[in-house]
Amino acid sequence: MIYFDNAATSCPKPSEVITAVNGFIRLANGNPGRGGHALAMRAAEEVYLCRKKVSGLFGAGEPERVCFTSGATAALNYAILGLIGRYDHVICSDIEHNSVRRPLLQTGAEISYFNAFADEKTILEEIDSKIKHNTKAVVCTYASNVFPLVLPISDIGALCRKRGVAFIVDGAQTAGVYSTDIRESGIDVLCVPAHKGLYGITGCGAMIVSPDFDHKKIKPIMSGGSGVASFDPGMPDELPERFEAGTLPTVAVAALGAGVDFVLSKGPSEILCHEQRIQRRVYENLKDNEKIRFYRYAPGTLLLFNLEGKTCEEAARLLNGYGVCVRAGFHCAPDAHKKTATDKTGAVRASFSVFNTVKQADRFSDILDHISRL
Amino acid sequence: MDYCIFTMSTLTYAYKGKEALDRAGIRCKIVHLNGTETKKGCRYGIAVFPTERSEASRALLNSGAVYGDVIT
Repeated sequence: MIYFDNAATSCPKPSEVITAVNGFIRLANGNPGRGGHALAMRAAEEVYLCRKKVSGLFGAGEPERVCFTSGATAALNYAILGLIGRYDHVICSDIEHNSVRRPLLQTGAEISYFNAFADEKTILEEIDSKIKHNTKAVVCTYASNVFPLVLPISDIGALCRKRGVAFIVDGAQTAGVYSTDIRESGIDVLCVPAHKGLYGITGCGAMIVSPDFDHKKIKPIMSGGSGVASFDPGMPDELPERFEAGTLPTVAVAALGAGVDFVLSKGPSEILCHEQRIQRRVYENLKDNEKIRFYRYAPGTLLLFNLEGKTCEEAARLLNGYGVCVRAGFHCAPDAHKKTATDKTGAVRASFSVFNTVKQADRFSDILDHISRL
Repeated sequence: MDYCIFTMSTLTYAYKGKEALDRAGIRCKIVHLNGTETKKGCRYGIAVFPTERSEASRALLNSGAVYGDVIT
C-alpha cells in the first residue's frame, strides 16, 4: 500500500506511539484528576509529562498553557467561540478550513477576508487596512490543507501584536512539520491535532495559549467536571482545567507524548525537507503529463491535482485499486476550492509523511501516469 | 499530623509544584484532598515534612505553582 493521505491523518504510526498506547492502557489507565489512587495518579503524571513535551515543542513556556481537547477542530471552537462575540469584527483568510470558517460564522461576528494568494507584503497591508476599532482577532490557517500554501504567520503575528489584536492560528497541517515558537511568532492561540504531523492517534488535540495572552479573555464554552473545586458553579479560572471539562482522552494524550518524542528525534525541519523531497519527486515525474493538472504547485507537503476526463472521485477510486490511498473531494475547505476554480469538481490531494519513500513516489507516479491515460 | 499540605488550585499546578520541589531536593508527594478538608470540594495538594515548609513555599512560589491554604 502507498499511503498518501497524511493530511487527513498520518499512517503508519511510529512504533513508539503504539507502545505508548499499549503501555498506558495496561499500566496507567486511571482517570486523571478523579481521585487519588495509584492508577489515577499515574495517568495524571503521564498527562502532565505530555503537556510539558507539547509546551516545549511549541515554545509555550509553561505546561499549563497546553489545554487538551478532542482535536484541532474542538480547540478552534474553544478559541473562536470563547473569544469572539456577535458585535466583534474578525479577519481571516479566504482559504480557511471549515474548522475555522464554521465557528467564525457561528459567532455572528462581522468577517473580513484577506487574499491568501497575494504576496506577503500585500497580505500584511490588507490585514492592516482591515483592522478597525472592534476587530477582536485575526484567525487563519498556518498552511492550507488543500494545496501547498503557507501563510506568513510570524509577520501576521507581529502585526497583530502591534495593533493589539488577538491572533488565533489553525496549525492542523503544520504541527510537527514546521518549527513553531508561538511567542516568537506572535501567536496568541495555536490549535493543533495530535494525529497528523505529531503522529499521535485520533481523539486528541490541543489549544496552546501563549503566556503573553490573558487566557481569561476566552470564556469556557463547555462546562463539567474538572476534578477540583467541585462546589464552585463555574469552571476554574486556571489553565488548563478551565478548558478541560470532562474526562480527557488519556490514551490519545499518551500517544501524543510519544509522537512528540518521535518528531523531536527526527527534527521538524528534517521532516519538512523529507516531505518536500517526496512532493517534488512526484511533481517532477508528472509535470509534463498533459492529462494531469496540478493546482498551485509550490514546495510543500501535499499536491492537488485532477485528471483530464475523470472526476476526482473516479481518479481516487482507480488509485485505490492499485493500493494507493489519496483523498478526493472538497477537503472541508470550500473557499480554498473556489480560489482554484475546483469548487464545482473537487480535486485529488496527495499528502506525505516522514514514512513515505522515493520508491513510493516513483511507483505512485507510474500508477497515476498509467491511470491518466486510461 | 506527619505532613503539612500545600493545597493547589489544580492538578496541573500540583504536578508543576512537585517538579519544583523535586528539583529543590524537597521530599514531597501529591495527595488528593476531599471536600471536608478543603471546604470547596475535591482538590489536590502537595505534602511535605513540616520542617521543610518554608523552603517548599519558596520553591513553589518561584516556580509559579500558586498554592492556597496550607493544612497542618
